[in-house]
Amino acid sequence: MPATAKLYFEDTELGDEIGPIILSVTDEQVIDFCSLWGNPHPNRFTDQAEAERVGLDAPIVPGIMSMALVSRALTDWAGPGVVSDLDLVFRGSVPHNQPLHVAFQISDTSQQDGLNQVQCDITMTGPVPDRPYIIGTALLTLPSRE
Amino acid sequence: MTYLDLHSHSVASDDSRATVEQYLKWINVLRKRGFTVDGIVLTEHRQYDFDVDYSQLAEQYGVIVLKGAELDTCFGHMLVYNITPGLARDVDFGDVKMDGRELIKAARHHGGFVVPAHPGRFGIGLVEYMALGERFDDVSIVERVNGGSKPEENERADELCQRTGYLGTGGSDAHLASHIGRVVTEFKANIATSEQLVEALMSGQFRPVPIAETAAAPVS
Repeated sequence: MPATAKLYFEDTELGDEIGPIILSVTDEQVIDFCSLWGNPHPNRFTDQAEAERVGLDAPIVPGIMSMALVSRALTDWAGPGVVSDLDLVFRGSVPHNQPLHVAFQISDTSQQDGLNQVQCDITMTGPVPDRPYIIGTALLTLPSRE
Repeated sequence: MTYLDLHSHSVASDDSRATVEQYLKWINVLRKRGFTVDGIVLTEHRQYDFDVDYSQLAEQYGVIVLKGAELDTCFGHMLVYNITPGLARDVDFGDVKMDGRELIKAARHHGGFVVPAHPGRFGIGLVEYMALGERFDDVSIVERVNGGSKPEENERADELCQRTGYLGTGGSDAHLASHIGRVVTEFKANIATSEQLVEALMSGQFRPVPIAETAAAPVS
């Protein structure tokens, strides 16, 4: 049993719903992320004029930053090191400075070859249930209590 | 009475992340919660696989699994039911600019049926083309409630049905397992095959219902 475990396979059940976990991303956080990533300000993620130049209404959260947010939400819930796979489909632009509702639904569970695996559906939407910004799945490999 | 989700995508579609088995497992989650979903129609994007057979899975999970397709046309996406080898021979399913009117005629000729998908969707729905003056004399049924559309897009589909007298179906447009069955179509008929689905559509005896409305439905 790993000391860092937060969620055990036996605690999960097909159909479990987690969230929505409400996140938001500020302009400053996107600028910091882009600086670390090596995509210097101004760009379409950080600047209104640059965003409009490429046909966007406003600057958007970078895709890899959204992936990082979803990944962190997963590990905050299930524990560190459990995400074996993360597969997201971007269906809309993720906005800055707006509530982002992230929800997980356990859509499959399996125990095979000594691995305890849980598949989660993922959605990220705005506060009003609407067409999601992001859909996807994560495969978690969880510890067992046994 | 039969409750079918008429619009769903498995991993055979490039933008879906759900296997057919995961859909069937989730339908049993819905049933445990008291909802009624008898079956689904897989409407993969721009393709139809005659060889794939889900009958064993369908039996294992007690869910009807039918196959159709969602095809891209010059008038938006169209759901096609009861696809036959003849229809697949006459229509190039990969042609994203195919003439939607010709597809409707070809499907009827071969015993199939076409329902324009999410007609109220901004930019790509049938409503947009009708506003440009296009006429669709062979359309009689549209997807009135689409589980993937925005509320205002479903309102536009609803207004279209009220204005034209089109009948309406419902489908989840699921791309994730947990989205299956969000919207279904309630048929008065018992349906187990694609041919029966077409007959039931042509009878006009159906209506779209959100999953919540199936809770009090008798188990068929």
